[in-house]
Amino acid sequence: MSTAVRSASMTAFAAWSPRVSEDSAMGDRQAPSREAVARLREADDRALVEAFLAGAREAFDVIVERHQRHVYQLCYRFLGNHEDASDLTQDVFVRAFKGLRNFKGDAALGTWLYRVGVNTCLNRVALKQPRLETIEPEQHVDSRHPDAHELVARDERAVAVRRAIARLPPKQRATLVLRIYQEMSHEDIAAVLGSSEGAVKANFFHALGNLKRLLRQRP
Amino acid sequence: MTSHLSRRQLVDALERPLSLDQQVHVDRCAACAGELAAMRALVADVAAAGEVPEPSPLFWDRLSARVREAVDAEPVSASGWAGYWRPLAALAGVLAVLILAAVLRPSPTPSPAARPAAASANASAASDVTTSEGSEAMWDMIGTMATSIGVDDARDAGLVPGRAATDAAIESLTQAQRRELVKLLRAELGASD
Repeated sequence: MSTAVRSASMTAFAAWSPRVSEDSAMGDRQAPSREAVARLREADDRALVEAFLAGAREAFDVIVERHQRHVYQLCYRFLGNHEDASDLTQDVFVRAFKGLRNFKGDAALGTWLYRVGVNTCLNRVALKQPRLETIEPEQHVDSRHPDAHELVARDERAVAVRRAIARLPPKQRATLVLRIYQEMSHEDIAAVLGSSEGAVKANFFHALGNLKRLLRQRP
Repeated sequence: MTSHLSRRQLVDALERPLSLDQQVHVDRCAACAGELAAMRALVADVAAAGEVPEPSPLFWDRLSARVREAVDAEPVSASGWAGYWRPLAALAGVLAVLILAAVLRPSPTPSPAARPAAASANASAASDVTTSEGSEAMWDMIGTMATSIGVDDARDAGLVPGRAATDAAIESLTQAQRRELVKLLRAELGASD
C-alpha cells in the first residue's frame, strides 16, 4: 500500500476511531460524531475500505451512500421495476458487506460493486421473471406539447423495448445492459460474466436478434 | 472481400469503422448493409429506452437506512471479526518474530573440544547442537517476544513476512526448532480462543 493511501486510510480511521470502542464496532453501534462522519465522507473509496476493514462500520454506510444510485440503476435496468430494484440493491450491499474483506483493490470499488451487482441480478433473474412497471406513456406526456404525438410514440416504443429486454435470456440481457447502458467493454463484460470475449459478442448478436423478433411480435 | 460479414464483424462494426474491404463489401451487399442498419437502429432504440425514472428524493435516505438495518442484522460481528482476525494476528506476530530470529541467528560455533564430535556427527545431531545453551536463551527471548508483539507492531516494523519468506524460514528450522514453533503456535491459538 502506498504511503498516501495508508495516510488517507489512517485519516479516515482516525476520524471514526475515537468514538467507537471495540465492542461497539462488533455489535451495537454508537453514533459517531458528525465531524467523524463528515471526515469519512471526504475519504476516497480505498480509504473507506481500509477503515471498514479496521472495524469502522460507519465507513460502509458512506460506501452505500456513495454508490447506491449506480447500483440501483443497474438493478432497475435488469428488473424493470422500482420495488424489485430497491430490494435487489439492498441485497447487493449486504453481499458486498459480507465480501468486502475479499476485495483485493486491484479494481475500483465501484467496478467491484458492479460485479457483485451483476451476479446478484443474474441469480435473481434466473429465479424469477421480472415484472415490469405498467406505466402508460401518455401519463408522462403533456398533451399540450407541440410534439405530443411524437413523444407518446417514442415512449410507447421505449416501453415495448423494455418489455422485450425483460424477456431475453439472462446472459443476453446482462450483456445488453452492461454494453449499452453501463458502457462496459466486451472484455470487461466477459470478466464479470465469467465467459470469453467471443461468447459475449455472440450473446450480444443473439440478444439483438431476439429483440428484433420480440418487437415484431408485439401487438 | 467476397463473403458476408460474420456475427463478430457485425458486432464490431457497431463500435468502430469498418475496414476498407468490409466497407467495399457492405456498399455492394444489400443483405449485410440491411443487417448492419437494423442492428444500429436497435441499439439506438435500446439506448433510448434505458432511462431510469428518478425515485423520490427521500428514497435514497430510506434505502441507506434499510441497508444499515440489514447489515446490522448480519451475524458477521463480534465472533466474526474477532474470531477471524485475532488468531491470524497472533500467528503473524509469532511468525514475524521467528523470521527475525532466523535471520539474526548466529552460526553455530562449537567449542574446540566439541569440533571433532560435531564433524563426525550426522546432520540432525549437528543441528541439535544449535538448540543448546545460547540457543535456549534465544528461544526464551523469542517466546517472551512472541507473547507480547502484535501484528500491528510487526507490520509497522516491516516484519510481516511474505509467504515465500515464511516457507523458507520454516524450512530452515531444525526438528527441535519446529517443535518449539508448534508449541508457540498452540499457545498463541489457545490464548486467542
